Amino acid sequence: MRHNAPTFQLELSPVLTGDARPSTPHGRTGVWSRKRVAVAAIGVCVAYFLGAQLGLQLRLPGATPSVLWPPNALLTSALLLVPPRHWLVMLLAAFPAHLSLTMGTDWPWAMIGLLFVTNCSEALLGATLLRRVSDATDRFDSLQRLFAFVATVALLAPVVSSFLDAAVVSSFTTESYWGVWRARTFANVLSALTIVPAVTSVAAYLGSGRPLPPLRRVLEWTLLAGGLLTTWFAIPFAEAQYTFIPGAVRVPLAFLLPFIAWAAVRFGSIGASVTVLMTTLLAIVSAARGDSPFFSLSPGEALIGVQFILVAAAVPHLALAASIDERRHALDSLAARLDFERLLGQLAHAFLEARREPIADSYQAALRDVGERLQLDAVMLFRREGQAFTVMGSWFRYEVSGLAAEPGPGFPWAENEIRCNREVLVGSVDDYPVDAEVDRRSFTSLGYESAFAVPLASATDVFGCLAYVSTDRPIRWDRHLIARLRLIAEIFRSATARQHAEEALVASETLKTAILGSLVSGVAVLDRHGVVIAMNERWTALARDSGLEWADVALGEDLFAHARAAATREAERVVEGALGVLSGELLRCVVPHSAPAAQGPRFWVVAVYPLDRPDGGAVMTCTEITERKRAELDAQTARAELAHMARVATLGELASSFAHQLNQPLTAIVANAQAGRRLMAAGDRKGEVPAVLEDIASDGLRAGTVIMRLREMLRKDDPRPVPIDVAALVQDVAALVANDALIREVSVRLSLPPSPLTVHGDRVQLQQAVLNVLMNALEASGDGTGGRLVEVAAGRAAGPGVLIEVRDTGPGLPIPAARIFDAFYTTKPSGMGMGLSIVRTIVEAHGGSTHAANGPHGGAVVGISLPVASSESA
Amino acid sequence: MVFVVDDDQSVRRSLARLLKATGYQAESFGSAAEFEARLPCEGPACALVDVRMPEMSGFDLFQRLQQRCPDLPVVFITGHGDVAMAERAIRSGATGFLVKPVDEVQLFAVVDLALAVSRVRLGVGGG
Repeated sequence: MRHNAPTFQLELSPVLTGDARPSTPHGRTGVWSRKRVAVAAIGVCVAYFLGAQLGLQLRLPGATPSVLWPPNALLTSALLLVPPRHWLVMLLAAFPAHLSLTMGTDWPWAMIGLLFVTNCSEALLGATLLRRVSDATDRFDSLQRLFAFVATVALLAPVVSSFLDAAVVSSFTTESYWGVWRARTFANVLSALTIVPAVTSVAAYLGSGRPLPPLRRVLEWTLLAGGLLTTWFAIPFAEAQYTFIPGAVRVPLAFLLPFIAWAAVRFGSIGASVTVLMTTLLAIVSAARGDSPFFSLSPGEALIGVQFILVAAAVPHLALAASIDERRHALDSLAARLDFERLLGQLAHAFLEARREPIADSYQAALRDVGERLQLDAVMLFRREGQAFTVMGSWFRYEVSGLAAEPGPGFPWAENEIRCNREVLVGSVDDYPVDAEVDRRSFTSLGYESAFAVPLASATDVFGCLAYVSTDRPIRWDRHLIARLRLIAEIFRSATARQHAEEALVASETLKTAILGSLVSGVAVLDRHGVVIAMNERWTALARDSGLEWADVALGEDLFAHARAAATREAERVVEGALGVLSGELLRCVVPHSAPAAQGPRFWVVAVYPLDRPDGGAVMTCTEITERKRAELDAQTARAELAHMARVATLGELASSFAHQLNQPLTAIVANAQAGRRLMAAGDRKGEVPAVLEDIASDGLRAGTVIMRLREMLRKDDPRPVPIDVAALVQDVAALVANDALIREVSVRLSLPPSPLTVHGDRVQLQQAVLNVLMNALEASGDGTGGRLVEVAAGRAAGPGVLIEVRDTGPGLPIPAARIFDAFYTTKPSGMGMGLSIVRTIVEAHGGSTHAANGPHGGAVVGISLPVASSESA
Repeated sequence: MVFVVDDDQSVRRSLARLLKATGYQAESFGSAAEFEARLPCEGPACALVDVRMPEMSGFDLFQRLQQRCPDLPVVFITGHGDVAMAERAIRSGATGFLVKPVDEVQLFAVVDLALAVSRVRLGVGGG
């Protein structure tokens, strides 16, 4: 990174916010502090004055024009070093010096002013043009930069400005236009070529804050400079005593050239430009003493000859130095790139390895690597938690207490920028915007010089931040450095993103396990092949409890294989159903299972549902339903009990009817027996006694039938579904209520189907249903004022069913009629409201339905629909 | 002549049989309408009428008989041996009533009484 390290301290980019806007590599947009501008202005003024004094000294004997005219070159250097917005200040700063130099002359004021303008125009033209064509106006270390400099600052600017200068001078003096032009052009070209690179690059170097070169380099430089001076002194001296080389004394310049080459090779463009300047000065001093190769020429012409030689010598040497620099830079940059890529590789590798070790440790190591390799002072990795950022890892070059975890006022502005996924680049504390006062104070109090922070963002949000900090020196965050820091941040980003993903995975695994563990049912999740990929402990427990041993498998085992091996009926049904679910043929499969136990039978249900994921699979659950089953049985029992109670109650209501039904045969039997006795006493002349006895037997049987029917209704058995003929059913019930109807003085009319019509059900329950409806109708008709008629019609319903409708002549039903089937709903003062509710329960248990309405001519119509027995409906 | 009116065939047949076996003349009818079709009757007679019959009950028949044959004594036969029924029967003008199953002693006593009433009403003397 060294080669890319800052060359000019002041050229710090402003705060970069966001995207890929590159930092400014050579201060085009730089702004200097006032103090700095003032210092520079004074420097310019002094340099201008001293340069002019030097120029006045460097004149060939007999020639008025100076060989070298430094003020314009120094002004150009100043403009190259200073941001354009301060150029005016620099130019104005030179004016006092210019004025003091020209005060002593007899030049008119206009000329003094216009000459300053031409001088300024040269500097402005050169600096402006060079800024256009060069990427670094303060460096001459590549052929491109050097030739840009030579073309603009060294040639074009002096040549063009000399036209103006010559015009000014020739109009105020008697000197010839072209004479002035030529003298000034040559002097200023040489000045620009030799002074600008040396002054500019040395100033830039010193200003960059870079450390001084190592002692060895200093010693070598001293040797070079000493050699240069010694040669310059020694050769004329030696030649004056002993002539070794003809004409050598007049051309010490020739012996100085190797030193420039040495400097170019060993010290690069800065060394070469300084040596060129020294050599030029020495050569001019020699020439001024008369030691010039052009001793045969007039001083004026010799002057131009010297200038030409110096220009001719300077350009190739500077070019040599530039190309050597360029090559060195290329090598350095290659090495740095390799080094950086090694670093990236190391980081990426470290994070990959981090799978096995705590990732925090690898962060720490990676941050240290980055900091040491990029010569930063602190590198910190933050993790975003809500709106706040917490330190995940950090590395500090120095043990600075308070630099790290001290909360302090923090960096609210920078944090907000990061949250908005914008980079924060602080070249120096001055880069902070006005509204970042808190940040600025934190920055200063922590001793930061420069910082760069990159948000770590996923596709949706910013989850962290990587911050690079320098506390030693300001860092020029050029685009190469920023690109690298972004690359490093990218590696951290993917590593932390991966860590987040892994953490999220662990969290979701934990959640899944917790959910599975909290389920009351046993759950086993199968893949497409029946291998268990997840299960809960309950599954194992239920498999053992329920006696489904084949279901007691470990994670990763093939459940289907176990089930097939078990070869029980349930196992086969489960596998069959599961395969159907897996193939998508079945939406689910439910297999009941029961096993005897000490406290009565226990019941389970094994259910298989498809697993909703791309890979397919199935979820198998095992649930104990013993409690539910018991509750169902209890409810059934309770229903039966209730029905029985209702029957008993109904039969109680029918007691007189039964009494009558029994009384009839008993009456007949008694009468017959007494008649028989009398007949026999009289000798039975007509032979009537056998008929009498037959009647007695018949009536006895008849009484038995009544009692049997009564007993049947009072039976308390479990329901027994049998085929029942609807006509017989209705007739039986009608017989039960016949006597009651007589008492109530209500006629019962039956209308029955001609052919047998069979329903499937429990005889007693259905009898009870019809009986309740009929009794209700009898009561209603008895209360009513109508015809006291109850019609019972049985027959096929419109659908595949049987309809038994009971029509009465009572007062009709209250609205809504359907409510009469609700339990405890009654219109009778003494009723319990259970009768029709039981009807509905029984009918619905038989798969039928009930309805009730008011008839068209008054009275109520209550209907029972029952499905026809399957053999009938076919 | 004793008319037995009862919707139950066994009952009327057995009662008629018992009466005949004892020396009475008896005719039996399955319903009030059937009996009305047989009227009028001549000579001393009585009717044994079941109270509970479909279509026309024993009381209804009795009311109609009071129009057509006011002299015919009627004895109700009922399954309900309660006081209310007996009271109702007597108040309505019945000659007597019998509770099922009928004991022959009571039967003959009531029938004899009814026939005697009939003779008195017809003005026929003797027995």
